Amino acid sequence: MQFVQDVDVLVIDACAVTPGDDLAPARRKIIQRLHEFHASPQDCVDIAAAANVGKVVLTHHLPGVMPEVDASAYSGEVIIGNDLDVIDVI
Amino acid sequence: MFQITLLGTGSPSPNLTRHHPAALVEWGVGGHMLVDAGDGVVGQLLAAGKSLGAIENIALTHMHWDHILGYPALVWGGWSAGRNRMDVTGPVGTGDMHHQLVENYYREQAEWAIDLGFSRPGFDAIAVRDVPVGWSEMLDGCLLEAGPVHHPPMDALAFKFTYQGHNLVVTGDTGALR
Ligand SMILES: [Zn+2]
Repeated sequence: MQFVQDVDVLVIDACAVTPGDDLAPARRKIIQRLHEFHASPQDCVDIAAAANVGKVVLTHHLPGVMPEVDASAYSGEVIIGNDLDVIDVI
Repeated sequence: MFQITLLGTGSPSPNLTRHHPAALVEWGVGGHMLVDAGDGVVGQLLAAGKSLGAIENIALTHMHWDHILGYPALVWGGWSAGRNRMDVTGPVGTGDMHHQLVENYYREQAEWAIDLGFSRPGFDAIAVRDVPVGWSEMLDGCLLEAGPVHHPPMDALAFKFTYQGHNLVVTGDTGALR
């Protein structure tokens, strides 16, 4: 956490989403296990808030999944990163 | 100028709109670092209007396939676009990856390409080094630092860039940081 304290921009792995009920059991199990080594979108926003990060950019998305976050406790900007987005640090 | 271009925002599942992880950090005049090189990185650099031959610095966060499948393609693509040197930095295992995926398999074809007219340094002057958490270095006026992440069972690093008092962290893959 120390490493990201007060940074202007944090680009972070938000791969570990909550699996939907509609998924096949095998797929559901894989997505559940992702939490062991990937952060969830909400983890990313919580880290950004706790570390006073200026802007948090969520990446490493699963296809067809739109990450959902509650950013009410975070005063910075949340960006859902897309391919070819350019984000200014200065 | 200090910016990051997201080249791939996807996961291992192949996807047309979300490529494998890769991002280009750029600062000042010509300062740059490509962070990760998943499948599609060469095409995405071209799509972003970047000059392949000018990509000389690469930082790999870890050796999972979705972060390095495009690495051999970049070695060859940048070389044919005129690159004459390259520095590759990553966690333990980075040198071994280069040795196995590039040097071991492609050396014979590289010698053939050199005989054909490709510049020898473009393939030979690729310096690959494994670095630990805590590593840091100045590159073209930007402070680079390697930091810890949680991505078992892999050795993995986050990279921090500090330029003119502003900073950016790219975590690569990580569980929730504590
Ligand atoms: Zn990984």
